[in-house]
Amino acid sequence: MKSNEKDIVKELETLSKLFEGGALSKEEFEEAKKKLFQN
Amino acid sequence: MIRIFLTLIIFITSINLALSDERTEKLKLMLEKGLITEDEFKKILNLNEKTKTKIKIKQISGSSGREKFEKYEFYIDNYRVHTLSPGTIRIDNMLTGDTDVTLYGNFKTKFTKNGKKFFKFEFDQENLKSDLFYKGRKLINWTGKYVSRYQATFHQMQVDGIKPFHYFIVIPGKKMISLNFKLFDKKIEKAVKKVKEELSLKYNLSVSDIDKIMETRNDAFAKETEKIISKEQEKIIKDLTEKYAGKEITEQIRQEIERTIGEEMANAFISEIEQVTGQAIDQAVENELAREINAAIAYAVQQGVSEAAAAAAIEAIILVYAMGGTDEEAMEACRKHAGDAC
Repeated sequence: MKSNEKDIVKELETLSKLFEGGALSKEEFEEAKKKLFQN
Repeated sequence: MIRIFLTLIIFITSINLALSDERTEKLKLMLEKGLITEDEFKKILNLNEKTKTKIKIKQISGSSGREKFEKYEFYIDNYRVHTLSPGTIRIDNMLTGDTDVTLYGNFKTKFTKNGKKFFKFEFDQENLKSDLFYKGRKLINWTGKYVSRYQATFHQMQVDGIKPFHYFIVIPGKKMISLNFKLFDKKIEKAVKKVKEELSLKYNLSVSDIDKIMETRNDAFAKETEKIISKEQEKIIKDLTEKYAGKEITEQIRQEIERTIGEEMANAFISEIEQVTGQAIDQAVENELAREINAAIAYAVQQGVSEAAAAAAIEAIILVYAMGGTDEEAMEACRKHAGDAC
């Protein structure tokens, strides 16, 4: 459980960096977040 | 736009206390940047709550666990939290040997400089509710109920929201009285069970249906239960008072009181009992629910609704909830009988 929680923050951080850097579009970012929360 | 901005500011401020470690700081930043929504933020925070270290409360005095006032302790990081005496909790920093926080009496506190750094105390004076946070984590919730007849305040301290830690009574000018919470909780449990059984008979529902009703977050029922519990607390004080009022305090009686409230406070309580000699018990727990409903009816009558209509409206609300109805449906059923008074 702890590792899941750690991972989700880390993953979000990575996704955010990709989005802010322009590597991900808004739609792609939202879709990736959605998948992350589903997992 | 301004409203959204203000809402966000208020939201961020309100959750600020819950943010303590690096991960939550990162999340906070993402929220501020609009990278995650409030819902997503809360979802992760809830996950965070579940992963927190569970606190283990240990009994440190009271030989049999039933007969005497019991002291308890628990540890969190480098802190030891323990009951020093009835109505006094100390939080000792094991690294420095200092008592960084003291909680005592009617919501009084003492903090050292270091204590202020890690602990935060929030007190709602109107509702006699307080919370002690440690690094943003709600550690102890402390509630009080004032029993006007005895000018006494009953206090409950719980850890992690649900674990009983210390129960005590404050009577002005007297020593604080500690309650054995295991015995006390059993009495409360018994009273609530009794009320549920009465509800079950009155409304032809099973006890599990009543439980489901209680879980619907229906405020009216929650308030009823709170009142019942509160009345039970009052009853315990009354019971002790009536039982021993006017009697010569023999060694046998003294021992019985000690078994209930703890040896340390027996003398103070005996003195209190002697002062209130002659007071009578005029109500019983088994009538609590009926009385509360009657009070609700009386209130509705005051609001200009007929007694019969008010009674019908209350019955209708209960039935709607029993059938799994929503708050809106319950209110609609109520309005059919009592109109705008609902």
